[in-house]
Amino acid sequence: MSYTNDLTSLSAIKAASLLKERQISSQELTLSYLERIEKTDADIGAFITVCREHAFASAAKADEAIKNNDVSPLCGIPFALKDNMCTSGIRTTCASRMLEDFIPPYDAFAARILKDQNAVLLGKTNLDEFSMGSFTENSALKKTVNPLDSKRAVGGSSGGSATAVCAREAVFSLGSDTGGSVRLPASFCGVVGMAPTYGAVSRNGLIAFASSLDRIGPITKTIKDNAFVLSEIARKDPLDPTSVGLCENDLLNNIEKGVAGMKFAIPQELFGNNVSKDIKEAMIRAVSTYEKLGASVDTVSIPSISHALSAYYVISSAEASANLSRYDGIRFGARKKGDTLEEIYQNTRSSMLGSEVKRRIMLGTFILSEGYYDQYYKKAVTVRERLKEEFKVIFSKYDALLSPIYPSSPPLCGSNTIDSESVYKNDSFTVPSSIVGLPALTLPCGKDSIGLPVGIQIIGKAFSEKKLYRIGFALESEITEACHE
Amino acid sequence: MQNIKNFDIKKYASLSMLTLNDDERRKAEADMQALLSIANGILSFDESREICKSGGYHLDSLREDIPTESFSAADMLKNTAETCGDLISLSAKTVKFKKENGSED
Repeated sequence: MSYTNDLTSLSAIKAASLLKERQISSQELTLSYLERIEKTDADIGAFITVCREHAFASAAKADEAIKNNDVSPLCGIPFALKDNMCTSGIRTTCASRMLEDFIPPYDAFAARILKDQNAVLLGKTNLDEFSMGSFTENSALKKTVNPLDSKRAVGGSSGGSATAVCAREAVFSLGSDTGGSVRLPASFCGVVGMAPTYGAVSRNGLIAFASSLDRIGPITKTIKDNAFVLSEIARKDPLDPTSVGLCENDLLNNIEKGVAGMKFAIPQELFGNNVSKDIKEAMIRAVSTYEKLGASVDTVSIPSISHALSAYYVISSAEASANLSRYDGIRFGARKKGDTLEEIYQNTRSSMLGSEVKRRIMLGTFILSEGYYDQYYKKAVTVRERLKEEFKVIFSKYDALLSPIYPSSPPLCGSNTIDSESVYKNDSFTVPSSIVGLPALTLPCGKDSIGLPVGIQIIGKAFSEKKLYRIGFALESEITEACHE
Repeated sequence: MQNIKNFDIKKYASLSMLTLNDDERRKAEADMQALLSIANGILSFDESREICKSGGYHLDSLREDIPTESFSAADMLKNTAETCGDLISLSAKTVKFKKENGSED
């Protein structure tokens, strides 16, 4: 019996099941997604590069593997990758003129896992240039709009990845999260995003922004799909000394167990007067749902959160300044002419890097310079350690923390150029877990007064992804309408 | 504290191997103000401050059992909305803890 419904509405788990049972083929599934991309992507701009021929070849290989009963969990499933993850033979731009024609000679570790499982890469998605931004409006190559409301920001920096899943242009995607870059666009697009514990997924092949903060995470339509994908990509990688994988990779096991008896808390510092009425009401409904399901929800204070934003921008800018020094026009990437070596460096970097990237680099250079290192960087690292200790105490008592992802509805496109300080400040909700590397899951918990999705953030202690998925699934089952089977 | 007027943008652009023409420099000075303002927030962090003196709850008290008079956050938030018109006024009504000297906060 063959499956006759719309293939682009399938969840990853359902698609995997239908593929294994040979009710559909990977080639059929891939064709559906490529046709969908052709139909919709001109309007929403999720993809920088669509790999049509590569996708068909991969799908054919997947079908052959299924025929031979060599079926990996993600075999034959079409996905998208944020364009800051290296893909061998396929250009990887970081949405920057600096890498516009860069073709990596190797795959990122996470991309390699998916390739080895015969998953089907559809293309590389848009992002803020070098992942620096919160709305995917700093891309030098493409404009991406929110598929739910084209006048509203899509969130960033993994905006293309979230858009692709929301608009049914991919079954799932991978994004990267440094200060909220998976969670924020997932929230704005009404899909599920996970920033796993730092070290759970290898950063090998992820083009670095801030090495102590960057993490790769899945973006999916549902909680179960997210657990399904993360189970596969979270592996220890000998080429990334900061990678440890996960303690337990069967993240779907007991996901439906519920939350009865669990204790959650809302940090006061993330629920202040700057949070809009719509967001607060959605959060209150989510809290009531959890209490109905048998959990208790308190409020707590985590004082160092008030300095988390500053610490994040100090640490990330310092690390970005160091990481982006490699773009010098010599080894790879673009090159502009100059009469001296220094002129080549300056001409290349000045003309090929965008203004937000330059700002962060200059800030980082300043922070690391003599006379300011102690004042800024050393202090930021102290805040990070203090916050780590405070979270440790909280998690000795509570199973998870709940908070909004963003203080209001997605802003209008282009508003970040009007009030950039507010834009930076609105990262306050996502950066506390980022700077201490804790896992954080976002899922839709309701809608605002203009009908756009509101995301809730669930933060756990290190390597508690399995518990977070259980908590997220409990809420999802009660209050969201999953557009999947 | 580094005031934006003192932030030598030419110097740090040069150290970053970047060159800015006059228009770019003027725009960058304006845009850097927001970013620098955020980063400058770190300067007010007092490293010598004990956690319990920050004005928050002494975190060690979280190791003790939470008093039985704690209440659901949803009810608290709803009640606060009805009485204050502002959905959140958490400082007055959050869970009580005992400080080391025995007084409640």
